[in-house]
Amino acid sequence: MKAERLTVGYGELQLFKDLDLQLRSGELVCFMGPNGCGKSTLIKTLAGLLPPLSGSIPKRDEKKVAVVLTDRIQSQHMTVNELIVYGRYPYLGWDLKLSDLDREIIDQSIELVHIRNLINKKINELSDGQMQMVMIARALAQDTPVLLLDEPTAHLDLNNRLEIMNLLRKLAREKGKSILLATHELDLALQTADSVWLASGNTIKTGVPEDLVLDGSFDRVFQFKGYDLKTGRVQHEVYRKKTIKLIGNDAVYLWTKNALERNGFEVTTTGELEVIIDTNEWRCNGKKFRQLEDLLLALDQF
Amino acid sequence: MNKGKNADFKWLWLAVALVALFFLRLFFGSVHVPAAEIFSNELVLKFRLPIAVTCVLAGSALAVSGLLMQTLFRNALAGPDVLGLTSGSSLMVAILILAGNGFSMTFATPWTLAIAASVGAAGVFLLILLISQYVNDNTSLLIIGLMIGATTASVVGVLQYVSRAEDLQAFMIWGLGSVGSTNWNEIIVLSVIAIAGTILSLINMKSLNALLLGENYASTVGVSVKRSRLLILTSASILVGGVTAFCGPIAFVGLAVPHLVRIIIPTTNHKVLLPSVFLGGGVLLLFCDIIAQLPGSTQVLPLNAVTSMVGAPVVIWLIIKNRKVNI
Repeated sequence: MKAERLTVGYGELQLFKDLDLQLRSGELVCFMGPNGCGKSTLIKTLAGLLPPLSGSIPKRDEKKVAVVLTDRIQSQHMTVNELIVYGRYPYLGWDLKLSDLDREIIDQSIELVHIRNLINKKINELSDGQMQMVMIARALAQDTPVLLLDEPTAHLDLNNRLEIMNLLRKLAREKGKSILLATHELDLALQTADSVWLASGNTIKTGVPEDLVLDGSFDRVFQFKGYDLKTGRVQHEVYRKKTIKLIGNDAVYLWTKNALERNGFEVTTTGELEVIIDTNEWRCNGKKFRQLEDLLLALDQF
Repeated sequence: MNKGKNADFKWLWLAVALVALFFLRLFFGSVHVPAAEIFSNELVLKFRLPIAVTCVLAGSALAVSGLLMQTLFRNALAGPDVLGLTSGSSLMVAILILAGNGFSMTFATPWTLAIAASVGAAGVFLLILLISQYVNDNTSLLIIGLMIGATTASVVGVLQYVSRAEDLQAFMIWGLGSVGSTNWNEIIVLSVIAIAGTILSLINMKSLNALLLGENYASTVGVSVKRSRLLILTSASILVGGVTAFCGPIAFVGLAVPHLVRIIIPTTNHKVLLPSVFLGGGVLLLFCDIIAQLPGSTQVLPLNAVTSMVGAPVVIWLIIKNRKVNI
């Protein structure tokens, strides 16, 4: 899918200007940018739902592009199964008769997204996460080479977000689909996307996520307040005079360091106070602590 | 899967109810006719049969038009009377009879009357559609529909005030009209309209289903929203116009029947809903008309009073039950 010299927006308002964009097959692209920068507008334009202000995009083709939008579907009586069948509409006649192939593709989509237990439920009985999975199954049933998703992981808990991202990656790799998803969840996008579209003013910067991190593009766009993208950590203010020398390794080391820094200590290799990590305990100043909470309380006193 | 199969055939019960009520309607009336004589009695054939047929046709046509409008506007409270289509039809009939200066009832054929009423309904529908492009709010749309209804009603009032006495008399007779005043010529026109409008809707059922997802999703699964809007406008307008031309304004059937049917057959698939609602409309209007006859007495109630008595509580009950109504 290709767009050339594309300008999108509404009437006088130009959100993006002269974009040259390309979606390759087998690629999962995360489209990122601050809230209100026009992510949904671009997705709708690429889906052929909004006319571009200028430039060329492929004509809307329901057999090539399937979308998951943020529009809510309100219908008291609709079942999950009925909703997924909509994915086959581009291939059905006026009488809506499903062929064996249609049924098979619907079945595969249900299988891929692991929602077989939901198919007889009414859609208004579903949680947000389940609904999102059902909408993805519906889009998959459309059997298109391109998939556009607008904020598919919004309002979901970490597990659901991870499940959706892993599913999309798998689809891109195994089925060779081009998948574009708009999101503002930085951590997840950086770790799963093959490529990133980063909205920056009225242009879009594209590249491998790590490149955009290292060249500072993300910092410029998001203007992070206390978040160090290069280490992936929240920056903590050092407000205690004591520096700590932490000895240990593995996950316990990282989480201990996290706790100490959050509490305003600077952790260095030459710290004045020594904290040693042992199996199941911490040692400091000759005392032993079974829990970090106790250690932090004690450090307060020193 | 089995559950779905059952739902597909539940509408057969409505068909059974329709046939049963049809015969009941032939049986009930101010004069007692023994059941054995129903098919030979002149009174039944001349008076009750056309009424029963009109009930089925008018009820079905109104119910289907109500379903079409609820789906198009994704608004559970949409219906031909609520959104002012019935008033549009009445206005056109009023213009035809009252302002026609000598073009009285005798010159108005069933076809011209039906066409005028359909044009009136289509005009209001078009206006509501245009407004709905700017006003994206269900409640506002309903209020606008009510306002359009009020406006057309007052125009009709003005026309009555300035018209000639004999035209006014013809119009008053039309205005009182119910399912009891149709002749066979009118019934033929009404059946052509009811069947044509329903077939047009059936051809359009893929779009109707898709519109339930909203216009964006409908477009992305390959449904032309513009084309289906035009088809819905056409079929709903002729259905409402046809009924209003011959039976006058009948309240609540279009609004209530789709909801009543979905209580029995909870589906969103128009392949099942359209035939079910068609049958359900006939069932409800036959039922209301039987009640209107007050079986056992010689009194007859106005049909509109009965449909409102049945329809209004249904809507209130639906809203209270769900806190809001959904399509």
